[in-house]
Formats: sequence, structure tokens, C-alpha cells
Amino acid sequence: MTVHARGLLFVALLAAAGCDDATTATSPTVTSPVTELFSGQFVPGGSAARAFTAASAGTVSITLSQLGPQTGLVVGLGIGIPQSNGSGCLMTQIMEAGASTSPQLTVQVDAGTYCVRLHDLGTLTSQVAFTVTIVRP
Amino acid sequence: MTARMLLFAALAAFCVGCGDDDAATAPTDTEQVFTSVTYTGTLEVGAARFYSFTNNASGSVTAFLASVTSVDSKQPVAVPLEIGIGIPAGTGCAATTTQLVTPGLVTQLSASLAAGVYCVRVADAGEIKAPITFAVRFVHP
Repeated sequence: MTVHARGLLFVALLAAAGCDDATTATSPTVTSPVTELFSGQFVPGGSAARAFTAASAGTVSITLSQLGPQTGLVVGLGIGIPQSNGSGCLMTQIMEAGASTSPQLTVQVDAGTYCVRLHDLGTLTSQVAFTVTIVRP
Repeated sequence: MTARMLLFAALAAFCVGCGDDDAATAPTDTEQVFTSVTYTGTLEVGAARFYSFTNNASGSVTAFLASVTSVDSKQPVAVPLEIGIGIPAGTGCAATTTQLVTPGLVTQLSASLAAGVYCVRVADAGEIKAPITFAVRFVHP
């Protein structure tokens, strides 16, 4: 066998031997909990709501992380389920809340769609801006 | 063996060696489809209301009382209501499984049911003093 023929045989053996599944194991991506931010504005007498989906059963925590521009403001903060027609949020639990750095509502939920709602308690005199932090499964 | 023959062997190995040997199998459809329903209504003192639904297959039906609010103030109230799952009977719902619950967002009632027509019932168990609106979320096959 010539050197050239030996080289070709080597190529053939490589081709035959190189067919194992080359996929390497990867660890699953951790996707829960997920943090969502809900920001907006509402006027005196108004409200704002947003739906979110819990991908699995678990704990939802909600924090009114920003409320201003005035300081010391307090509004209604609640969690519930969206109305079937999408026109609002059917409240399960509400509380009075100001801006905070720690969760103000912590609720166990099944997998499904829920909503968070902010509303004026009748104390606002001008438009307010807010950010709500939602941590959900 | 000539170089040409070896080249042929190499190409043949490239062409046939890397197929997936698993035989093709038809996908199996074993995942059950569930439907989520939000049943809302107004409940007078001492009253009961129900909602009929069809279980498309046997499986677990789960429900929770998601919301109870005062008709007057529109504010949530922590009053307990009786929720139940049963079978439509005449103009009512004969509940076979019931629970007295306050609003929450996790399963409060479950029943394993065959395919067929059933109902979810919401009733005042003597706890409400004025009309309320309620929302029950239930999930069925």
C-alpha cells in the first residue's frame, strides 16, 4: 500500500468512526421566577392594571417600587384575575401602598393569568407615575 | 487495493455512516387539553347561582373563588362563599362536592369527573349581608 493509499484509508476510517452523536449535555435553563416591570401613569380618580401569566404554581410577589413625583403618596394596590372580556381586573386582595423596596403583596397562585391593579384612593391631586415589580413563577 | 478504491471507500463511509438509526414513530397525543373559565355574577343574600359546562374528557376539574366584592363599594370583601361542583338538575345544580372558602388564587376545590355535563355552583352560606359580585375560576378537560 502506498503512502497515498494509506492516507485515503485513514480518511475512510475517520469517516466511519466519527458518527457518534456529538450533542453534549446542557443543563436546563432556569426560567423561574421571572421579574416583570409594570410602569405607567394615572390621573386622580383613575387606575391602571396589567395582566401577567404564572407559568406554574408558586408564589407571586408584588412591590410598588416607584410612585411619584411627589413623595409620601399612597394608592390602592391589588391582585386578582382579569375579566373574561379583558375590561378590567377582578380583585382578590387589595391594600394601601406607598413606594417600597420590599414586597407588599405575596400570594400563592396556580398556573394561569392574573392581574395587578393600582387605583387612586381619592387622595391624589395630580397625575402620578409608578413602577410595579412583579415576581412570578 | 488501489488508491481509487480507497477513495471510493472513504466517500461511501461519508455518505452512509451518519444517519439516525431510530425508526420513525408517529407522535403520540397523550397531553390532555384543559379549558380555563372565569365565571362571574352577582349574588343576593341567601341566593345561589350556577354555571354549566361540558367535560370533554375524563379528568380533574379544579376551582377557586378568585374574587368577592361589594356591589355597593366595589371593594373586595373577605366573606366566605360556598363553591361546589355537581350535576345540572332541573333549574339548579346538585353539587356533589362543596367547600366554604374565602377568595384566593390557588385551587380550593377539585373533583375527578368523567366526560359529561357538570356545573359549578356559588352560594351564600349565610355569610353575606348585602349583594356581592363574585368570580370563580375553574379549569376542566
